[in-house]
Amino acid sequence: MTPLLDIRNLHVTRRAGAYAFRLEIPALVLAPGAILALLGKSGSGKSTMLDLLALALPPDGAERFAFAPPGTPGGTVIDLAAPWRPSPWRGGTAIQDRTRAHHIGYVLQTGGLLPFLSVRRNIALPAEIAGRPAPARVEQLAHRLGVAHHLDRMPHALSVGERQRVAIARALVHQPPLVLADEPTSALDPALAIEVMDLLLAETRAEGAALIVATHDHDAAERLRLPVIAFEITRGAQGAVAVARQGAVAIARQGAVAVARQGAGTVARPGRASS
Amino acid sequence: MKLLLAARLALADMRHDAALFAGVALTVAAVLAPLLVLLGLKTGVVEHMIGGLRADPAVREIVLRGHKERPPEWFAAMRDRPDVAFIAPRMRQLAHTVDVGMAASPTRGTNADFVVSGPADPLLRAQASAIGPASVVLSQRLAQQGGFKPGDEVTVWAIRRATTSNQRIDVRARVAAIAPPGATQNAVVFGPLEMAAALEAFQERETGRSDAARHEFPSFRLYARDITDVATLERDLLAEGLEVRTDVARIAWTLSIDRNLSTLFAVLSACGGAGVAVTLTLSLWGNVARKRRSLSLLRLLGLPARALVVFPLVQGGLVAGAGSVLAAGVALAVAAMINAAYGTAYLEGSNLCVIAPSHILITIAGAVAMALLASLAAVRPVLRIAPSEGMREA
Repeated sequence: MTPLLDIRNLHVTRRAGAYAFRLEIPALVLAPGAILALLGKSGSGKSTMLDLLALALPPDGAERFAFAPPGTPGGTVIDLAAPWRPSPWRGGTAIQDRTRAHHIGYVLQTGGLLPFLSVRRNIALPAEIAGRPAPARVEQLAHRLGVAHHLDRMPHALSVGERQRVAIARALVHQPPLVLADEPTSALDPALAIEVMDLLLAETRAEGAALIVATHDHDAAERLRLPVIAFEITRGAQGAVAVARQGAVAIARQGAVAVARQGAGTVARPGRASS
Repeated sequence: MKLLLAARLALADMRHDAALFAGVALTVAAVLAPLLVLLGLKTGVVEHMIGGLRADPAVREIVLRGHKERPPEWFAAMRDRPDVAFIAPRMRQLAHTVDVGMAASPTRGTNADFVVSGPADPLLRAQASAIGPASVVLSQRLAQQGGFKPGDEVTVWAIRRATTSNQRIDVRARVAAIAPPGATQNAVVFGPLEMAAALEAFQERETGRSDAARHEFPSFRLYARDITDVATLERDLLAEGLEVRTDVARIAWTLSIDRNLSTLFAVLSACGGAGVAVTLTLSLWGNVARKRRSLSLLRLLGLPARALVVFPLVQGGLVAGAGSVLAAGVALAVAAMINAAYGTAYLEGSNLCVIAPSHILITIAGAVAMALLASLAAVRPVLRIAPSEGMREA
């Protein structure tokens, strides 16, 4: 099966004054419908990687950065590295815009809803941007996620948990093959966080979409038996290098090193080593 | 489609921040409304003054002092000048006195002056075109005194004193029209050049049929095409050695008032316009800065940067449009109040404050154009908004 996402030897460096942070992704293969957790604490490279996957940050180089959304004509593989090769990234090239609009859904920390649009229009927006308005699907998703009674309200009138439900509906409305979630439960209390995470996974699975969820919540990743990507971090005086490992990886957490496996459904606890 | 969607989102944002945008629109209106009223007052006063000058043909008349015979070629050359509306020879004092009577009873006449006229004579306005080789136009006074009406066949005659007896020349003509009331207060026959030449030749005892084309007249009746042409004509005639009298000083004074008020208005408009431009620029730029997260979210969701540019353009255009429409409404109401309060007391027959539809259209178009220019200041930051900003919490 053609992987949805196939990344080889991708690297990017972000600089802040004299400090440089380099992220390397030796290999990342994501099958259609697969679910992965980006696991790591602040500064580990989660956000940088999510920006890369969201096509919001150009890599400095990539041997391969291919995206093959199912259902595209002729099973087209979009070479996302191509637009970046000839000239520096200037943001907003057509292929990135089109790929984001058609093939990626986003769930952000506190929803990331547009405050000037009603809940209905917020959910409908990605479908409208993709040129496929789907009012019936908006209603359907809103019912499934329990926010149908809020459709004509404005986001500020909703609780954080309700906003996250709306964000999940918005991420799925245009039926993207890939959903990216950035700390979707970090602003929620533990009970609500579990509920929202369960809902996100259930709805993503129901839609057949792949999901990459960035989280620092080891417990959630462990409870949900999520395969993970984690980061091997080497720090020096001039900066840090984070290598994102898929599968058996080393995880830096609270100074301890742990190892996780993709597909094994287990996440290593800090201070505990496994292989 | 994307541009349309961006425009709809910009409208939704405006509705959400209605108070803010209403404030900006009110600011625009607060600047433009007084300017419109001022323009209306300037227009009312100046147009009344200039309109009064333009409506009175006497203001455009260049009157020759004394007599100086000019050849027919000179009249032809003057007639061809673009700044000349009308020129006709003026007859000698003795020759232009005639009697007019019904053709059926040519012995009972009414005394009148004969004035050469023709098409484009500003004294006769539309009736001037009725004058032909055998057609005349009579002044209102003459028509009343002689009981003449359009269509009457009349005889125009002159008498000259001979040694033994008086001699008389009769010219038959049809009354083509009665002159408008303002043309003259006197009893006047407005007739063609050929008729005048015949009458004058008779008085000067020339023999045979008069040749109008070669007849030399001692004076002329000359009108500039516009009040702004009078000064040039006066200068050229003076250069020819003709001493003339004109209303050029009065015209220059009135035009200088218009010019000075226009300059004053332009300065005030520039100040007001600059204020509006700064207000719009800052508000649109500030709005983009405030909405950066929302705009970056739209970029993250796949809306192209060029579509986002519509955001400040639509909002700037609509705010300026709404502000200028409001300003026009307020200014029209104030103008109506001014005109109702002062009536036409100050300016005979005219409103004191005149706001023309063109003023309103220019104001709205100017404000919208200014807003579009101002929104360009916000375009650059919009283009620099990265989709990745949408990923992070503000």
